[in-house]
Amino acid sequence: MEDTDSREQIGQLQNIIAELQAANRELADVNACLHVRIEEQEERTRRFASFPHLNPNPVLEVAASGEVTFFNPASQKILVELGLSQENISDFLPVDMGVILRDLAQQEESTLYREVALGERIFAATVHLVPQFAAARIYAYDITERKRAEESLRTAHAELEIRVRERTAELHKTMEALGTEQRRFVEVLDMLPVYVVLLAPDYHVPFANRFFRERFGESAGRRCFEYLFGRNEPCEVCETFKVLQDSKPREWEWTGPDGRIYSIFDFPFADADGSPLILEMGIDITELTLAEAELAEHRYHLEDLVGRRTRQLEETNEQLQEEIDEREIIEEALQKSNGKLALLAESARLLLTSESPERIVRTICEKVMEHLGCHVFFNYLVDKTGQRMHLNAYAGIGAETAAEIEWLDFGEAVCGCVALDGRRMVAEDIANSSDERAGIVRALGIQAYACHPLIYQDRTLGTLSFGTRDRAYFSLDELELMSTITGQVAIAMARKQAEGALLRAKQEWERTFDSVPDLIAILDKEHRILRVNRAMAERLEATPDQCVDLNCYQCVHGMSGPPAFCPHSLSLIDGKEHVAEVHEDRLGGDFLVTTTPLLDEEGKMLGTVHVSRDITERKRDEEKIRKLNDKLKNSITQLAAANRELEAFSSSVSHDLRAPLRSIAGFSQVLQEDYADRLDEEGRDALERILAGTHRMGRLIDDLLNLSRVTRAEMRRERVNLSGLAERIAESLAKSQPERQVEWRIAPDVFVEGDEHLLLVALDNLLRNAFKFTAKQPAATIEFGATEQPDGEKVYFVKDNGAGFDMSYAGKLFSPFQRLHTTSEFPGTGIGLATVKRIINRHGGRVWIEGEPDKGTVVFFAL
Amino acid sequence: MGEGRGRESDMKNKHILLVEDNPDDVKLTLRALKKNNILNKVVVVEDGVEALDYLHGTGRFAGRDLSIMPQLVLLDLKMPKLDGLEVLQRIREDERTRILPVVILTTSSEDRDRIESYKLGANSYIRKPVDFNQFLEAVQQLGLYWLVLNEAP
Repeated sequence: MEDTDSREQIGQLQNIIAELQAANRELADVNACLHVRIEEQEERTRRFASFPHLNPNPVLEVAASGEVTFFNPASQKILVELGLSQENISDFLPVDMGVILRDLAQQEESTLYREVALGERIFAATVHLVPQFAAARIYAYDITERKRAEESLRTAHAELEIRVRERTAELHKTMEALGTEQRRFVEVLDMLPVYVVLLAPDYHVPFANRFFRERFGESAGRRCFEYLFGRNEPCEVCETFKVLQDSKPREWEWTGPDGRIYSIFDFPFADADGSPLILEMGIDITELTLAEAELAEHRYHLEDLVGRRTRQLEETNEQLQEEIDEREIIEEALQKSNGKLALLAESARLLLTSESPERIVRTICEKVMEHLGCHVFFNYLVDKTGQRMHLNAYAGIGAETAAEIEWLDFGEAVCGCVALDGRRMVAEDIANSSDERAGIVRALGIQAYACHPLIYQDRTLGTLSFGTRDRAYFSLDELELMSTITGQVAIAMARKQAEGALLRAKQEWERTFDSVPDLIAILDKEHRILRVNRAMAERLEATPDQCVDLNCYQCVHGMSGPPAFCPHSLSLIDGKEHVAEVHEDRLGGDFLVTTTPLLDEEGKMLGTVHVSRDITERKRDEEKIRKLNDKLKNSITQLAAANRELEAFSSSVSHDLRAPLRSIAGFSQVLQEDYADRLDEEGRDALERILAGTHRMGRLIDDLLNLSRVTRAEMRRERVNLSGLAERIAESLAKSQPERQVEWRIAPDVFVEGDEHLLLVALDNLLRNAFKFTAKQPAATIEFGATEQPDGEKVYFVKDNGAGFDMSYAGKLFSPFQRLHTTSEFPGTGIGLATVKRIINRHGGRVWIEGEPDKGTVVFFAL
Repeated sequence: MGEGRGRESDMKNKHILLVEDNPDDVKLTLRALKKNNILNKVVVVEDGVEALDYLHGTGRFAGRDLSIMPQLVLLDLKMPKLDGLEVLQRIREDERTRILPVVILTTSSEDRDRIESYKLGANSYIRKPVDFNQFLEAVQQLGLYWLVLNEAP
């Protein structure tokens, strides 16, 4: 670079010098020209001298005495122009005029040239000595302009010469510096630990630094490929000469003839005369390359490590980012809510400090309306029935409108639906919606309407709704604010309700405590009374307050310490409930004392609840009952004995009555079989009657025994299939008289709980009766079934279309031996229904009968 | 003839002990047996004590050949001195009579009597019906089973 600068400087200096020389030549020409013109001018002056008056230049004549004897008008005009008077005419005379005039006599004729300054103007004066007249004539002409031109020319010339000298000196210095620089430059190039060469397009090497020469030797006029590689043509791999094609620098790697690797930099370069060259620089990177390979190896491991670490960091970063994002979201939300906080804080303050949140709602909601730009709000509260809501507070509508919507049923309008569902409802763009529920607010010109349920712990207290007339939609933020306010109001209301309930519960508890007839005392661990109810205080003949802090054993038992039976002491020891029966004359009777441990919230025992029930009366009653019981036990013993007797009696009746009867029947038959031929008709008839009578009596005895057995037999309750029993009985009855036409209608799957054997006897009696009383009916129908009474009671029945009966006798039918038909009509003993009734009674059920003569009979029973 | 005698002596050996205090019932029972062609010898005793005397060869029956035991005992329950259930119990306690077929023949229809009888080892329990025809039927079946079909142990 420095080299280039120097060259440029030298060029510039050379140009300047050439310019200066040209200017000089011009000046010389001008000078020559000026001289010619001056001579012409003088000639003309001389010619005009003979015409002094006409001469436009001053012409004067001066006598030898120095006196101006003549001057022309031009002289006078100049004096006027210069502002001088006529006396100043002598100013045209040269300063050495006296000398000139003194020497005048010695001279024959002569012309002298003088310059005369007159004011600012300069005149060239030609003085002609005229010795014959002892006078001199002066011809003057104005040379001011010429003088000035000459002056400036001279000055310019002098300056030029100074500059030429200066520049020449500079040039010398520069040339000297350039030489020094060039030498230093070459020295630097020679000292470099890289090679620097200049290559010509024809592959010659005009310059190579020492590094290059030492490595590869002198080129000695040979071309690069010749002297480096001993080749006849350029190397195929060489990149260097491509620089010449596009004049762009190149960087590549080259393996030199010494086998080392060089990093090559090629630059386009212009010689001093502008011819293209290539400046090439080569750095031996053989070691570097090896080191790099090694480094690359290290780097690979390092990168692996870094990569892994980076991934960890990235993961951590992601997590951090997520956290940051979250925080940002939270922060954003916080910021958003900041505006609402004041409002919420205010409403919370109002609600918390208010004795009646119901009344404060309006104040709060008006603030919310203002904040949200709403026009109406309604606050409905669920009434005691829990089925409808009352308009508790409102704004934005008239009293008349409010009266119209004072009550809302659940499910009615938006608020009613919200109360029913317990979920927020937002009605938007109401003018363009056809939702019937929004009818009321649409009529009020509301565009957007949001209703929130007042819910506390799953209990709907009412609703709170806001509406606006100038927007069709609410933002999420606005809805959120409404929701929050609604939550606050709900909590405040629920809190107030809970406080009220608590107070009521407390009063209720106290009233209950005092109205319990038992004597209740709450005792602490030191047997001191903490509290007593009214009954206890009255028994101690004091007020409840007077009893507090007294020792129970002292004021109740008049003792100096707890009595041995004290259940309170026992409860204090084991933390369990204890019961004791205590007789205390001081309190006038017997008491059943229960002490129940009273625990604090952490389960630590505070004392006990000591409840004394006056059982004096009960004791007395118990004594009575005990005595009655004893009596009853005696009675039962006696009854059992009587029962056993009765059993023995009926057993012996059975045995003893049947034995003679069998004799009568048996021997009557002997008579009939062996002696019938010896009796007449009447005798044989009598014998027949005896036999029939014995048979009837046998049956009667059997039935009676059955009846008593039914009463005495032990009951076993089990699931009994009545349908199955009925089928069996019907089958056996049908077989007994196969000639009869009977239609049996037996309902399937009728199950009851009861004693199977007894129920079999009962059902047998009923179906046997039905079978018997339909004997004269050619198309008999016997039905067994079950129906249900209106009250859900199951009723079973046996129905026939037989002889029936007159209902006026219905009551008698269940008594033993009651018969409505003669034996000849329908045989029987009159015990059957009595037996049925006993069986049903033993099951805790009931039985009744309905009938109509010649139509049939229905026997109903329920178990 | 031998065969006939054998049968006759068989019949004698395969006799029935009827324990019955009511003479009417004795007569009717014997008639019923006869009517049913049951021709086995029937030894009748009138109470429980006699019944045991007969079976053990004591009292009135001292010296009786005890190798000949009745084929069947028809035992009434309600009897003076010693009732039927006690007699049954004694029969079952004694090694000699332990396996003797005993049929209770009684007017009692009490469950308790029936159950107690079976408990004590009665082989059958027949309630004497009032109707003589029915009694005939019962006796017929009884004789058929215990005297003809049943193989003595």
